[in-house]
Amino acid sequence: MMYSFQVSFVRRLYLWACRIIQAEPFESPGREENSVSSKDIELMAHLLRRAGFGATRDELEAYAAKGYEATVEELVDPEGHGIPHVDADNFYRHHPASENPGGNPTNGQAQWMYRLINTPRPLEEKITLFWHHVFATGNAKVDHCAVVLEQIDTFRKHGLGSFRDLLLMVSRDPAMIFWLDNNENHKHAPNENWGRELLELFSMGQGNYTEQDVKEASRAFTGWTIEPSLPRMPFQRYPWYFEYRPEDHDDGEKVFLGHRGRFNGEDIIDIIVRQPATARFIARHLYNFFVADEVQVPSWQDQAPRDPVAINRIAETLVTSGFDMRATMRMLLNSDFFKEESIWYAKVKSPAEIVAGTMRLVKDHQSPSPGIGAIGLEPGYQGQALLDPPSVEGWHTGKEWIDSGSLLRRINFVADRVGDTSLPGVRSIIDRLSNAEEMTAADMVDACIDLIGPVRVTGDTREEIVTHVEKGGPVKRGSSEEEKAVFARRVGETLQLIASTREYQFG
Amino acid sequence: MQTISIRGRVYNYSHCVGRNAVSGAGFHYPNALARGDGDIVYVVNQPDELQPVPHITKVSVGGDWHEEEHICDFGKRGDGDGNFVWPSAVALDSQGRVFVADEWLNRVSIFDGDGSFLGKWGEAGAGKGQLNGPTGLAFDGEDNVFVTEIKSHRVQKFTADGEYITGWGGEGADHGRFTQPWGVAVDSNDNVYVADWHNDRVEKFSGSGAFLSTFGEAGDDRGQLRRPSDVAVDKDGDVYVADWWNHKIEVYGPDGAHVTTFIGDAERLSKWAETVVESNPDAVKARLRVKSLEPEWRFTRPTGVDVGDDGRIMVVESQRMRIQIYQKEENWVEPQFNL
Repeated sequence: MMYSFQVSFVRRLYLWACRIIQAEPFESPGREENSVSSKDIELMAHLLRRAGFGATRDELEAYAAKGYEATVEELVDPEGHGIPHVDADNFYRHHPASENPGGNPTNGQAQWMYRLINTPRPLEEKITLFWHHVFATGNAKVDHCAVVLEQIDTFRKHGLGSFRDLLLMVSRDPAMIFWLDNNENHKHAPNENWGRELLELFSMGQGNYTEQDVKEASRAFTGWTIEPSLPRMPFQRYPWYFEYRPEDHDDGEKVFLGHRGRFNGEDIIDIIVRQPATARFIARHLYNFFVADEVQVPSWQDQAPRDPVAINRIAETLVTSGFDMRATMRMLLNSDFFKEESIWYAKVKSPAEIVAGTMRLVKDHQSPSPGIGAIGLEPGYQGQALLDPPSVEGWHTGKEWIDSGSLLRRINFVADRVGDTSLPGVRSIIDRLSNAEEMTAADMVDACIDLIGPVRVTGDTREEIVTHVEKGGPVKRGSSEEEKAVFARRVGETLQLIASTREYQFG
Repeated sequence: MQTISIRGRVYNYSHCVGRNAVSGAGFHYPNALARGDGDIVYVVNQPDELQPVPHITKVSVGGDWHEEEHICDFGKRGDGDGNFVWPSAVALDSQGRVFVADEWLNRVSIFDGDGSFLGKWGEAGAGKGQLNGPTGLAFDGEDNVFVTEIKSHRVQKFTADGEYITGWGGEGADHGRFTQPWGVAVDSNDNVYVADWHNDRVEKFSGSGAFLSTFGEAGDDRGQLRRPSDVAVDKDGDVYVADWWNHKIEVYGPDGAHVTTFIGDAERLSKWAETVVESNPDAVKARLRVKSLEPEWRFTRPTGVDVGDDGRIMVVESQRMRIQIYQKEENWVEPQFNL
């Protein structure tokens, strides 16, 4: 009986979600269709979905009490507000392999997932993920997960600092050097892989430079390489370090983007960040990641931005702030175009957002424990293997996160967690509902929609959930242990239905 | 090898044993060790999320280079008798029985010296006599065992059969309290030393829990500690502390004064390690192209330290999968300086 219920339930979710994902770009359902929570909470939920990985109702209420702008300030400057880091030492103590994972990324993915789930600095981790999208570096080639994790740590530490400085750090990053072959870029035998991607994918975008600029940039980065390290056998792997070899650097004159000189790599970066195209390119990346889904990066030279005014504002802030990412994110998150309700739920959540957001909601793996490796692998099963993007172009986002396999995986992952009434976050929702007055099925659905997000669902969607809940009979919180268990199970099932709606899959 | 002569002590580096291996001749993220008779050592191997292979390795470390022998492995992943999820500590009683704590399963399993399961005790919980994340084990002279617990931030004393005797601690940084303690040791006077991991110190107590003193202070310099993982005391009362975060062993005198620092001296490969390198010509060549082999010699995340009455100090490193062995010399006579 239970089995057949589960099969039919999952099938129902699947068909439902297929309909959802096949829909045209999401249109805001409008508040009048179903508005069950205060606007402050809804706006705060939007902020935390975009600038973080969602938040529980308790967290949203605490943020809302501080106010929107104060919350943005805390998000963009956690250090200045005394927000602690994740206790990485304790994680390494219990998961030593995650500190030096070797060639297979599983243990490294576990480490990052633990941080995504537990960070009290959500934007710091979100901007880390953003830069991982932009400077996509894959362990499949690097085959040394610890150095990829070091790159991620650079994003974590400096991702809200100066873009110019970050670009320089990435240029010296051993994982990036190996990933794009700059260790094969020699004075008398240039390799243009790094020079090309620096311009095409990391700063200016296609159409804003010439083939000659690629050659000259590549010459400027000759001699930027990696110091040979001890081999992995017999005692595990050793760190990689940047090494500059002046004897292998082409010190001759170069002409780059109209500038002439005996440029080294740092000079190239200084010229790049002075280009208007760079500000526009990074602005569009920021808009695509934090505000609303855009077309994929290769189409940016052909298709105008969804919101050119917003892109211009972001680009202007980048320029006027000296490419200060903290100032830029502060402006973006406080802007009207970010708060505008038409862009709420205008992004398909990435697999990392789905997994980390769900784990934060249900409050699982809040301390080191066995099994975090499986959670770290989960984004990969959904199409986003962290630390291992498919190419230097990174992942295609938006609707391209969704295919028939990843869709079912996303739904099942979320449904399994929010339906587990033993998990503290689910328990917290049940406890809140247990304190409420008498409720109908519709009341319970509305309360669950509120507490799981809040999310906004269309009237049709809500009706469908209410109808399903009503089939289980009248809602009774009850007083006996058996009745309480039935109530908890029904809350869990309702959460499962909501978590598989279009609105939950969109961020 | 090199001789360290300082404050009336002389230490010589002996040799190292180990290599990276998920089973058999080598170790897998080892996080504790205990000495048996003579050259016998039991090593706790941690699982990882890719290869969940928790087990105990019994080895003979030999008396010198390339004398090591793998004797057996015991235990595997699971919650059945004799199995582990997160084995965290090992200690031997006076009969040579091997006690292994499991942090996740909240129990202590008992084996004979060859790894045959004998029994277990422990009930999960934070109450007196219950176990809440056991992470360290050490026996006193009467075969009572002290257990540290990371989640309850305390030390409890049990009989070898698991009968509760006493306990102390609680979370905090005041004297007598702990934050996420790890290793524990007992000296010849049955005083108890606890590696107070998150407070960056070692605390010393009487066997009944009276606070006596602390060793070390928070920091990264010589004599300072950051996240100490284990502690051992030799027959002279000198205290050896594994400074996990700073990759070193700090040695203190009985009065707490800093004596010296070991940073790892494995200039020569162990027998098992040499076998791996020599079987791969590219590994041999890769070792030739590095500027220095020194990073290989040094400790990386020392997690366990033990010392016997023979003055042999053994250090196990979780990120280098090996044991490095030092010898505290007795009756050492310095050679003529201008020899």
